Amino acid sequence: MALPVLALANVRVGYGGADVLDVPSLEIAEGEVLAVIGPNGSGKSTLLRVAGLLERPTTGRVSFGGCLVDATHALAERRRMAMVFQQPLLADMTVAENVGLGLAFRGVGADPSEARVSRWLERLNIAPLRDRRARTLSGGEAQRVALARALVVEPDLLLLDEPFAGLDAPSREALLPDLAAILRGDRLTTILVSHDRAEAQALADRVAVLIRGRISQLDETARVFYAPVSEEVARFVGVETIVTGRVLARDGGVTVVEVAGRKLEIAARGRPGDLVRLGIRPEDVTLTLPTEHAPLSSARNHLTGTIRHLVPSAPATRVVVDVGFPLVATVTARSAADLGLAEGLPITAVFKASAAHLIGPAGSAGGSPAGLLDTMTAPEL
Amino acid sequence: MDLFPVWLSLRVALTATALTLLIGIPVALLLARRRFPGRNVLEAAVVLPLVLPPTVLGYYLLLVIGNRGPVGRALAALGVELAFTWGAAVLAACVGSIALVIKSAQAGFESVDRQLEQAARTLGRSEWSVFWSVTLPLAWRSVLAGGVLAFCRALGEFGITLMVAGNIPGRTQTLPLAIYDRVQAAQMDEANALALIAVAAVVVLLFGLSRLARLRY
Repeated sequence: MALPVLALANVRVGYGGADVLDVPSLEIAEGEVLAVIGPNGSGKSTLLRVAGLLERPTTGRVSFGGCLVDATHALAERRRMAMVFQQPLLADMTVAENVGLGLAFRGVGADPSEARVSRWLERLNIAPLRDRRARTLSGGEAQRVALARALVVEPDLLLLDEPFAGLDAPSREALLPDLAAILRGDRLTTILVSHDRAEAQALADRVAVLIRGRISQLDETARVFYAPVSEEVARFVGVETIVTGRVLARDGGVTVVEVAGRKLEIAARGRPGDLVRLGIRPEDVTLTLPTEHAPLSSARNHLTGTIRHLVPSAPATRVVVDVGFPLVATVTARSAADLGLAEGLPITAVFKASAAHLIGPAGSAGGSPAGLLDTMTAPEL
Repeated sequence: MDLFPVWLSLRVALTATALTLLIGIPVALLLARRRFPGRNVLEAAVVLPLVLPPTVLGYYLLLVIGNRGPVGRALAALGVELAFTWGAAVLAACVGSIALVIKSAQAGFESVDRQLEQAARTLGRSEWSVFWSVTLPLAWRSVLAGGVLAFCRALGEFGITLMVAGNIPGRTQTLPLAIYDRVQAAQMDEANALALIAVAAVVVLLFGLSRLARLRY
């Protein structure tokens, strides 16, 4: 296997006692997009500053292109990287001059620089803005300039620190696919730090979930979202229903798990007698009125209960159904209206056997975690 | 009227301000940017000259640079005598005023958004160039304000100067010492004139620069 572009080994960062970051090992392969997600204050930005050679870890080693580097003397290495922050941090000059800054500091001549600046202004769809003063730009435009300024140096490693967090929703939704196309088209090695799991899902090949300075899970994007290794990770990646059950039986490809007196059929494998934790994403649960009879199928769970909470929000309404345990579903505002959803209404919640995932073992049954976790089959991705 | 004390004080204060800026800016940057063992001790040591009695400071300085002190002997070996020269007055002014430069510049450096420095680094600027193109331009008002305060403090330095440079008319008698001398000799007209010059110099400098550069002290 080729050398990783960047490798961290036994990296720890502590500010006066407590470690804010503790990463035994992290490698970024050439051409991959790695998203580091986690709650606020989990050490994501610290990790990115260490990777970007802006901060020297308290202990540990950072290698770039196979060579050990010390952040205090890393100008040459840093010039092979580029970084974009949450704020665009543009200089008070024109758009084209801003985009050319990194090239000027690297000693690129005026003519080649001019050509590269023009090309990247085109690629980020900001060519008409080239002579505007940076301070007159909207937030979305300014962030496109900041991205162009980073990409124009054609870095070996691109570091993105919450680049969308400061943008309004329309700007973010316009920029996200443009950036995704550039990252994939150019196979740019990228580390993206974000607290927004949708950005990670849209851009990343692999996702690292950072919780309290430690990487709780590092895996392909689909696996992190559909096979979280712990409850904390599950909650962070958007699994809202997490319940404990006991495996009753295994029948063909289906495992029957009893949760609060209800029998659920799940696609994952489990040993009868084991206590397991189950996670169900709200978008995998659909709601129907109990009167209309959905076609019964062995691959679906139908649980009738009553609506306990109804939280309308855009774009989906969040519904908590009491089916013996609280089961969370999201439905569009239109379906909520069509079904006449209201608190106290009896309702049937439906989810596929493949939508319920095991989140590591729970309780005392001592099932092998590897065996349990290995059963994931990523549905409808 | 003998204006020697005025010129001497200006010369001493200007030299001392240049030296305190030269030494104070790196120390301020260190305190604002780095966490290191002994940082608290250094911070306390910086403020010490502001709170210790000037005569005590002067006394200890004299022990160090006097002809039996360690620095005094080393300098004597090089043929240089520092105690009771105008150089000693510069040293006294530096010691009395450097805290003002360091504290003011430190506050200025701390108020610079670290992200701007990091953005400059990620664009490929060297540390040296980040300091000159980002940090200092954003903090220069505070640094300059510290320099102005230090200059005024140096101009008025009395106690330390008296201990280490003496009060030798025509050699080390600075403006504040001269005023004291004239009052002791009941030459009130000269004392008044010198005092007015001192007040005018400080007022013009403080208000003039604060108008010009919009400084905040």
